[in-house]
Amino acid sequence: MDPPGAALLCVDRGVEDFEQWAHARSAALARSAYLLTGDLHLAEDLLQETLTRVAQHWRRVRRQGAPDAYARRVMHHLAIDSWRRRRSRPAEVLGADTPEISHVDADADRRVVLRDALARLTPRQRAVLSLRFYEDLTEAETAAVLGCSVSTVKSTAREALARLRAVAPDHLAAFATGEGS
Amino acid sequence: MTREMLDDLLVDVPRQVVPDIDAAWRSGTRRRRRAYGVGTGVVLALALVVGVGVMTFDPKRSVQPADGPDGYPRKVSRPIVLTRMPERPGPMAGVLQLFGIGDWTVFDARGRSWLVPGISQLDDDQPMLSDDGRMLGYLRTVSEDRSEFVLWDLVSGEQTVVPEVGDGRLLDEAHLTDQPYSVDGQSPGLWSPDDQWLATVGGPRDAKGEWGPLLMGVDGRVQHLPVRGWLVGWLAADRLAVVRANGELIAVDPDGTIVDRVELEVPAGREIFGQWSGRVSADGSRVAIVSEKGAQQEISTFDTATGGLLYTYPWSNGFANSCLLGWQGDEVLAWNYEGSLVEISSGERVVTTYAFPGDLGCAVVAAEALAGPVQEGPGILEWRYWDVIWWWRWILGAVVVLLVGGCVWFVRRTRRRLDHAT
Repeated sequence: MDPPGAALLCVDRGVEDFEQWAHARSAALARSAYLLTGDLHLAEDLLQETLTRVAQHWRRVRRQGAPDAYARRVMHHLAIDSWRRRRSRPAEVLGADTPEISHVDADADRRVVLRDALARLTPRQRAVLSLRFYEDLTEAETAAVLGCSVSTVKSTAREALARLRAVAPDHLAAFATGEGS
Repeated sequence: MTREMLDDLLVDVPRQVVPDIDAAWRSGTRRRRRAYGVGTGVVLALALVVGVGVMTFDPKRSVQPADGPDGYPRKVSRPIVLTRMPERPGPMAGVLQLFGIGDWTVFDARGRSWLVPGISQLDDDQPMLSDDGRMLGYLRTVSEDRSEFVLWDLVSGEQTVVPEVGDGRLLDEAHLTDQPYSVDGQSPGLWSPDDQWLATVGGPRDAKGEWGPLLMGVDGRVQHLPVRGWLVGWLAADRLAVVRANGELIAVDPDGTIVDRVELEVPAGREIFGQWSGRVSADGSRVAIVSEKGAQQEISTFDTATGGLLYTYPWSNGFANSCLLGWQGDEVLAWNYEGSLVEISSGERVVTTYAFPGDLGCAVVAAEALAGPVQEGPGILEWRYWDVIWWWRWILGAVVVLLVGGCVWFVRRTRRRLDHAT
């Protein structure tokens, strides 16, 4: 039950709710943003724009109780839209800024190869891989988020995996078999 | 294994990709307010466009005109938006001058009004409607310093332009024209009973001293009659009636020949004045003239055959001296200051009235229209005339609220569907 006067503070409570949610989810969203863009600066822009969109519709999103799903949908659509807008904007140099690797070990080569291979995918292919292999969504859920058919998801995933396999067949064998799904 | 590879790649990303959550909230709030503002503006603009579209819709334009006026209105309305008269509006019931907008309108038997297109903005250039409401004649402005007469058949839409006749007030050197005739704008005109001639006051533009009745035919002929006096109407299709200041009524044929004359029995001590108001009845048997006794105005009626005085009525409540009188049968009508056309011989019985008396200048109702039944107003279905209905604002407000509510409902429904789809 709301305390007395809660209605008068509904705007402030909305800010608090949003900030609480954003702090809890920003790390996961940052990872998804990097996976979608392949660049730290672009990932930061994408994450900031995603949070702004969520804030813009926060009351409705909170009422529906699914801010995570809404943020995921917005972020992936924004990433794909950037691809659609590429003709009217200067070419973005992907991969110029990469995460600092704090723990150098035997798998460092594999991470570099994976990062470079992902940079060769289109935003839609990266979005499908992100949703299927990182967010662990089903093909139907992925299709719903991206607003396309299941067969499109399948074919896009197949093309993405084929490209990864072609770039680094030894390091990325797991992707080639779709093991992660 | 694949998920582990991705986790391994992305493990350090959150440390380096840090969002500004506070800025995101502020920016999102700004966008939400802007979207609401734009949405509200669009809805209001839509409501405005729909409202104006509905109100300016004029069903008269698509109606096949009838042959004659179907009576006269109980009340002459002024629409919320005045539109130009269509090309073939059918017979009109009258013409009316609006001081509020300085223009002339025509109105039909139900009191619906339209602007007379191209008429001079000078308030004494009044359009002239025939007794059957079918013919309209007026001085139409062609350019800043040129006007020409037009005779308009409102049933067929046919227009006869009389380019030889211009505006009498443009006789100074700055406005020289090649038009041989001019009309005196202050004097009203009167159509012959057979709608073949429009008689007004004018003459050769270079001889103003000779001005008198000027006839314009629907075949384009122009005829100036060398007769002095005030034009008061037609006794028959070929007999023009002219009253002189000495109380003489003369009958003139279209060639200018005086064929008859009678002395009017003007009451003693009165001076008659018929320049702007004198009017012969529709059957030609009577004439009404304004006379003055000191500051007191009287309206006197005479028998046109004998000149005998029929009755005299004192009048101080209207425009009797400056606007054409009217006839309904054998009774004289005049507009009063309250914006009503009243029958003066019966204790000022109201015949018809104008919805906005403060805006009313002169008005003339066609004789045939007055002979017909009285008609009620446009009614609720004709949106343009809602300003004569006291609760039109409530209806308009409800329409706007419904439109806004409908738009909000539509947007919410669309959003819900999108949400469900994703």
